[in-house]
Amino acid sequence: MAVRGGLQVPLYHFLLKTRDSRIPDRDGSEWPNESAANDEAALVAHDLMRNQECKRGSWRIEVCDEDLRPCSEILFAEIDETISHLPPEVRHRHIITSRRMAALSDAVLTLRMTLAEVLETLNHANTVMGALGGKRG
Amino acid sequence: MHGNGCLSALSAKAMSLFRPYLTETTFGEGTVLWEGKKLASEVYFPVSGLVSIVVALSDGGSVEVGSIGLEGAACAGFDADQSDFNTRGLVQIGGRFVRLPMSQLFAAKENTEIENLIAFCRDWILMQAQQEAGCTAVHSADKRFCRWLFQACERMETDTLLLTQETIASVLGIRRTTVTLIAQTLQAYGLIRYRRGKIVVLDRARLRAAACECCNSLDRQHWPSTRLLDARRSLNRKLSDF
Repeated sequence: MAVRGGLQVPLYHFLLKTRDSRIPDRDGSEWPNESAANDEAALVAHDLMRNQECKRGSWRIEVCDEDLRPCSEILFAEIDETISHLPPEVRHRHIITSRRMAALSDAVLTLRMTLAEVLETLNHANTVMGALGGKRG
Repeated sequence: MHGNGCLSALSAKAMSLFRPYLTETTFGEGTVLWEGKKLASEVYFPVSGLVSIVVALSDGGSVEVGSIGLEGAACAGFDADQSDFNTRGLVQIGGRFVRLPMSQLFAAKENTEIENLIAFCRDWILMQAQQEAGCTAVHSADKRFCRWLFQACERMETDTLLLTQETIASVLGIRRTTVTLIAQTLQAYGLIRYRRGKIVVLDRARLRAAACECCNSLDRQHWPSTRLLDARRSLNRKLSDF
């Protein structure tokens, strides 16, 4: 937490979640409160979504506090103004679909990470077994 | 004295018309070279810096409509008596610049090469403004970011750019946080490396591939320096055939 003019200003981090990656804003930035940080996240989402609304509805920005604890998350489809002219039920369906796609992306990313960890463990085990075999032989 | 492409492309004869009036200066990032609605007094030939031509907005912000590096020359307008331009000239990347009084530029325009220089530089600014308008309207922030970075490298003839994320944000009219997230993404994919105030492009070809199509529309063949060289070569060919 930074101190500006005798006042403590909280630091927030923004984590961009796309279909196949997690991109953190490592340095973070200072915002008066969580609401201001959320407003910034919404503006950033609009920047990133602009002219790509159809493809990026399932992208999200997570707002985290300085200890990287998640505070809130914005789903791009939820703030997409290009679908505001659609009937509410169609908009709602689009948002639900985007949310499910986001959940699927999370699951695929988690699976990839697990596979990478398993692979690393197996490689490590191979090295250890090789070394043990060498000692015995 | 100069490493500017336009000045280098001029023949010794054309250059002799300018030489007595040229001065070299260093401008830092953020220097305002001209303000809107004023007659141009000088033309600037970047040697190692980059000038942004921006349109100032009423809320204090501004958006870039063109930029000039080593490939061209920048001024408020390439017309002797036109002060209707609403642009501001801003040094986006500090460096060395060669300055020439506008009066001397126009005094020399009877020379065909100088006439070409004025026409090509004017075309270049107009062409960029048209392309920027289309680009801003339809292309995504990340593709525009890649395009701007690629073009800056090409026009500065370097892969290391000294500029802040705030600068890029103001050029593209997007949030600084957006720039941070895009830069982090490009870094994760090995296209760039960045620290505060410094961006190093690691793979210019992949950066171009990630950029919008505007890179093709504004590539080297359209640069004033390239067109000047082509015009000179063409004239030399005609003279040798004569």
